[in-house]
Amino acid sequence: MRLLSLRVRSFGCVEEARIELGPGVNVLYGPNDLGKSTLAHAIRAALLLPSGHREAQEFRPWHRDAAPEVRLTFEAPDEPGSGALPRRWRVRKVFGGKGGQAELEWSNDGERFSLDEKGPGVDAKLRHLLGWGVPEARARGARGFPGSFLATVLLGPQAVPGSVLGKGLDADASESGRERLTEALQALAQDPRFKEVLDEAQRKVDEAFTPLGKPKKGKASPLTPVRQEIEVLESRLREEESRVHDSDTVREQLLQLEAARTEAIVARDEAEAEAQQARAAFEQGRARMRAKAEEEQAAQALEQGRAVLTELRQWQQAAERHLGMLPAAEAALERAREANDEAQQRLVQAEAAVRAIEEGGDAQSRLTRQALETRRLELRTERERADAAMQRAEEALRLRERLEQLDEEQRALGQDLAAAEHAAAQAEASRREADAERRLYDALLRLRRWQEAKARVDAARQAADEVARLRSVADARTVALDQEEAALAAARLPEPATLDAWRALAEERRVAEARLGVGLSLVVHRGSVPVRVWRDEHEPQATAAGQSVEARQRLRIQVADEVELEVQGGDPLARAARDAVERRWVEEVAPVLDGLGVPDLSAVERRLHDARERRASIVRRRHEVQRELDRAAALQQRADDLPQLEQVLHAREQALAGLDRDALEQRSSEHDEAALEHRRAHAEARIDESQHRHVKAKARAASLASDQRARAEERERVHAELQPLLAMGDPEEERDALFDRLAAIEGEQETVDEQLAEHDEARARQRAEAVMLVRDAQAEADRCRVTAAQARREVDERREAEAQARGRLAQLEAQASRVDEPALRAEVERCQEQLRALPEPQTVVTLEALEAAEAELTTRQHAMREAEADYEQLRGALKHVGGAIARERAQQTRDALLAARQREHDLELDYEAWKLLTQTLREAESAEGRHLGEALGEDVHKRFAALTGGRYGGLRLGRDLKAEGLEVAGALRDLGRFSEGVQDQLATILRLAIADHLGTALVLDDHLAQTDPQRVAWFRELLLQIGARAQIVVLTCRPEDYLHDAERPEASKAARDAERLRAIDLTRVIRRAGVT
Amino acid sequence: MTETKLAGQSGPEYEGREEDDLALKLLHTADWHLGRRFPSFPTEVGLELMRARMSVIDAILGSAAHNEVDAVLCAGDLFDDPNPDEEWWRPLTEKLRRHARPGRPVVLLPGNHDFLGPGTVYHPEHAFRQALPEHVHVVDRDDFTLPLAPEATLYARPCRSRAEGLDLAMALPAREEGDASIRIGMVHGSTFDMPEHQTNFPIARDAAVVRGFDYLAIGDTHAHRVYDPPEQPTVYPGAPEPTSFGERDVGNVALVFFGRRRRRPLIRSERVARFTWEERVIEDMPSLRRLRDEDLQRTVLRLQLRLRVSPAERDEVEEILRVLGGTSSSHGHAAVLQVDRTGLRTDASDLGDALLGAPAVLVETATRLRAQAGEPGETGEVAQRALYHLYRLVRSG
Repeated sequence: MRLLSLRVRSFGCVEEARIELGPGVNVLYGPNDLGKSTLAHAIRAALLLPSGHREAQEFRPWHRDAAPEVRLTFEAPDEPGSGALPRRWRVRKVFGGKGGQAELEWSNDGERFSLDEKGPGVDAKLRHLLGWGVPEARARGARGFPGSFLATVLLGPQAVPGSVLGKGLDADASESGRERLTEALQALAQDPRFKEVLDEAQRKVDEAFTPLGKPKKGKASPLTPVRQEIEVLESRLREEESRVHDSDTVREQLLQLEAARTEAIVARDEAEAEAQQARAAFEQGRARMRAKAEEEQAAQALEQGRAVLTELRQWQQAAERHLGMLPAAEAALERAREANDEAQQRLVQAEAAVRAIEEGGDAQSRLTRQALETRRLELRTERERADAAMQRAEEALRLRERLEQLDEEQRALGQDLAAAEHAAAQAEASRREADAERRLYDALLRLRRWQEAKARVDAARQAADEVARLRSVADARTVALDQEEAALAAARLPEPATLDAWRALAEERRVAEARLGVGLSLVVHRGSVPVRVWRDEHEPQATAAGQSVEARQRLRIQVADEVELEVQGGDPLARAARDAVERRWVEEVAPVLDGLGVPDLSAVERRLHDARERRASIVRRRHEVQRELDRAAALQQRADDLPQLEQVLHAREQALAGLDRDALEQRSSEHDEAALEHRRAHAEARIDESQHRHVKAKARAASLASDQRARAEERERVHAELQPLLAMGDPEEERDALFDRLAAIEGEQETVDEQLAEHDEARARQRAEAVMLVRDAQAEADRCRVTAAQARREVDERREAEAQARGRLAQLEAQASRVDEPALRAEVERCQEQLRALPEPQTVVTLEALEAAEAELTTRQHAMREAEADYEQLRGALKHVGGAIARERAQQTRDALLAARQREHDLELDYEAWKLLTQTLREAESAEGRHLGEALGEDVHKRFAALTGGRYGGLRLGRDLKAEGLEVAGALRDLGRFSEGVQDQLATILRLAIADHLGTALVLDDHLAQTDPQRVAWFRELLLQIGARAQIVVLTCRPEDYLHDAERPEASKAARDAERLRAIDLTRVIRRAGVT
Repeated sequence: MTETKLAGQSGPEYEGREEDDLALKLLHTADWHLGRRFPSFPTEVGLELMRARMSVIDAILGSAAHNEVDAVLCAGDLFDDPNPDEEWWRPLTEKLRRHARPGRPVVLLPGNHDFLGPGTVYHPEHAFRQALPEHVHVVDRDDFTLPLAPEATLYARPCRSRAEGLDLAMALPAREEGDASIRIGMVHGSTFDMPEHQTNFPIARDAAVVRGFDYLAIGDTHAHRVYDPPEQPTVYPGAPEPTSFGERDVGNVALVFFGRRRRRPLIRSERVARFTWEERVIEDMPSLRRLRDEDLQRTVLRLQLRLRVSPAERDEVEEILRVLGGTSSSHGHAAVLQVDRTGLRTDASDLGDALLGAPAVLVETATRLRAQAGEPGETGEVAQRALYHLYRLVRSG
């Protein structure tokens, strides 16, 4: 999370404040009682305190009754710690018990915000976005400021060392803070073996699942090959099962048809057997019948012979009878012909009468009808003319009415058009006015931006100058330091270890000498020559007889000038040892002492101490030079921007060209930039609105003018149409006259129509009568014709009967000549004998029964053929189905599909198992929270050691990050035993470490109050380091602790930016309540 | 007609007799299914099994040469598809050419898999037909006949579709009055006792007797079968190379001997297959361990693992399976290994000493997973697997 801006109104002692925060370290400074801590409270309240909470009472303004209001803009991802791109959020809270309000908006571009939550949902959403372990927002009026370990660490109020060091995550009501920290510290917290296991398990999970835990799809999924195989196999199996189904269907049908065919064959065979039996019985019966028939035939022939003779006699009598009746029939024929001729003549006459009536009757009648028809046509023509005149009159009246209506509409349109043009002119005037206003505010804004650009250029130039100065000073100091360092190197002082060795040698030398110090005594007993004695290192002395000389280890004796003796004490080994030590001294140490010009090792040690001091001083001064160079480097970036800033200044200078700058400068103080922006935006809005109105009014005017033109055109057209109609007279009068005329015509038409109807009715009656006469004549003619035909037939029949009788007589006479009656009787007897020889059939089969049996056989044969045909047809179909192959392949595919599904299931279970393992590893890791303390403790320890020069051991942090004590000299000591300054420093380092790992904002309110300047300087460096990864907001009354002079804003400015550092002078952004 | 299984029967009564005693010697084979795919197996293994089907032809034709048969009868389904790729029919022509011997015809009969029709491999215009050597005859007519010996004739009729209700054996010409020659019939189809034989070129129970054949050579079913009466048997030789697990009496050809004295033909089943397909159910570790010592070089082995093992045993199971199935760098003991693990359960509740000295967080993880591992269904199974994954990771670390 990163804070972007804070706006406070009527909040405690602060009447109003607006602060824009930078991404790195923000140093907000101001004197005591300005309201710095109130700003920290405001940030906490915006993020943690429900707007209706009782705690908000604390924030009510001191000097008036108003609702405290905070608006905080910040960046945070939707899911805390997710690594997703952050979104911009804006929370606004107005605190006031039941009247409290809260809104949370979001934006992707930082300009357009959309409402996300309102009311109670705001705090729940904020807690989710922060993930600090703050408990759910409680009901209105609840006591106590909502908080958590992380909330205290990151936003804690003043004097927090105890609250940070004495608490841990264990007191949090929600696990989200612990989870967040666990996640952030995970990499540090994990045991290498655990990490290997987790990484491998996660790698397997990543193969099959997306970061959101959903199974991967498509090519990315390891299950895709087997799933594709399953899809292919399923598709293939569907096809094959379809083929199997088709085959089964055909096979089932085939079996059914085969059964049907077998059944039909059996039925056919049965029918055939029955038919055969019937046929045999029938044949038997028929043979008997034939014999009987022969017998009957013979009997019949006998009878026929006898009949021929009888008939011959009868025909002879008939021929004579017909011959006698012929003359009477011929006479009747002649009478009938005559009657027929007369009837035909009467029919011709009656038909002629009907034709005459149909052709119109007599001449008078035709003339009358013709006159009536002529009149009817005249009346129709006259009526059409009157109708046309009536239409013209009505059209003229309609046109005259439309003309009046158009005149009225034109008048109304004229008024509307004038109003619209007036509105357009007003809108245009308003636009011009707003445009002038916009140009003015635009110019003022340009002036402001020019001024800003100029200020930036000045600052950059100053920075460049400062850089040059700093670098020059740093170079000079570096040269001096190099020289000093070279001088130190040239002094060739021994190393401390060498000095220690020399000290040991000196001690050895001293001991060796001491071992020779056995004590010597010289007594001169007698003599007159002078004796000079050197004892030990002393000056020689003259010794006379009787005197004694004492020495510690050596005596040198000169007797006169001839004899010189030396006496040494100690045993030879001790002497040799002393000599060896002495040689080493002379070879190793003495030259150095001589070189340094010092008498002994103490002097060398002093020299070494001085050199160390000087080297430390050089290092310190080099650090100072480096800091200056760092400052120069920081300023260089600002100076580097100079060309670009100058270009911007130039561009803005040009933008001011042609403007009256003096006049603008006079007015520029009237409004601040936001007000100018607002007013310009307002003017632009007015321009847009005026233009919109102008366009709308113009469009309205154009529309009205168009309507006016359309109506004028219509009026002209109507007028042109009306004129010729008016020329014919007054249309109203004409219409009345035409009404009368039409009534008269209609009356006459009715009369003519009635007369015509009467005439036609009379003609119809005459025709009906004539037709009746024709019908009667026709009937008579028909009767006569029938009678004549009957008479003719009678004559013909008589003649034919006579001829027939004669013919028949001739035949019978011929037959009678051939009849041999005895032979015929003999034949009859033979046949009767034959019939008696044939047996009677057991079953009598009639021809009908035989035919029925044959028909049944035919039916069965037909049915069998049909069954055969169906069977053959289906056999044909069978060739196109898969048959056993389809079933075999389907089974093969089914087996493969089953195997593939098993493989898929196995893989799914395996990957689910990897997922479960990963989840469980993380849960177990989360539960094993000791890591948090261990991981973070190391971080804190390093920094604290760097701060204190290793004076203390590590800060022991518990599993919940609760501080358990500080290690000193191998023992864990309670933090309460340390000074407040040390506790404050520890707490600050811990807070910075947590903010650093979470990459989130940290608010430090007046911390390190009891820390010496050197450590404060160290902290400044630490803040700048961590500021690269986390935002830090420092509220302090001691700006010099954090800011160099050059980093502070100019006197006229509220803020100043350097690399990763923004300095904000709170006196310029906070308006205290009660201060005017 | 009853089925008589002769697989494993000792040699024919004609063995050791003078050649002159034999009127006719035949090698009867069918159901090669060249080009058949094995989708249940991984691609490489499937290819190996497909290649084996081509390799077995050398063994078949070698057996024909070794036994000096008079003719080789191939009773259908030599190809798995009526339009096989050239990579299947071309090598066959080469093998037929290589094993060609004058006077020993090879007769190829279209079956229901590789039926005869326009555009199919057996059609006279197909390149396969052009490439066949002269001694190879294709049954491409319904009235096909071929003299096999002075007194022996082959009568055959091809399948012309995948399925058909027509009994091709009954459609062959019947023995004429006074015909005393050896009549061999050859068709492809299902005998009356096969399920759904009605639509798969059914072969009637008494077809050989009714039509007067001394031997009815048929193909379709992959197992070796002989149907009564012994004097006029109807014979399935069986597929020369197994096709799936569970097939019995498979991997053979039938050698048929007719004596001059016209007694019943003798049939000997001769093994030619390269692979044996075997399915084993493993229910304990000792059985699995024993497999390592068996000779499985020519065995297509399917293991159904139905056992519950500890994590350590699971490691051993995987190791044995690697030994049997081989790895990318080494051949397995088995020719082909297919493993059904659906019955394999790893009880990872006890991880043994795997977590000794492990970080507390790993011990805590195992404890949490163990609590879930006892749950029924997939929840427990997933937890068991997670424990096993943990075990493997800790062990490998």
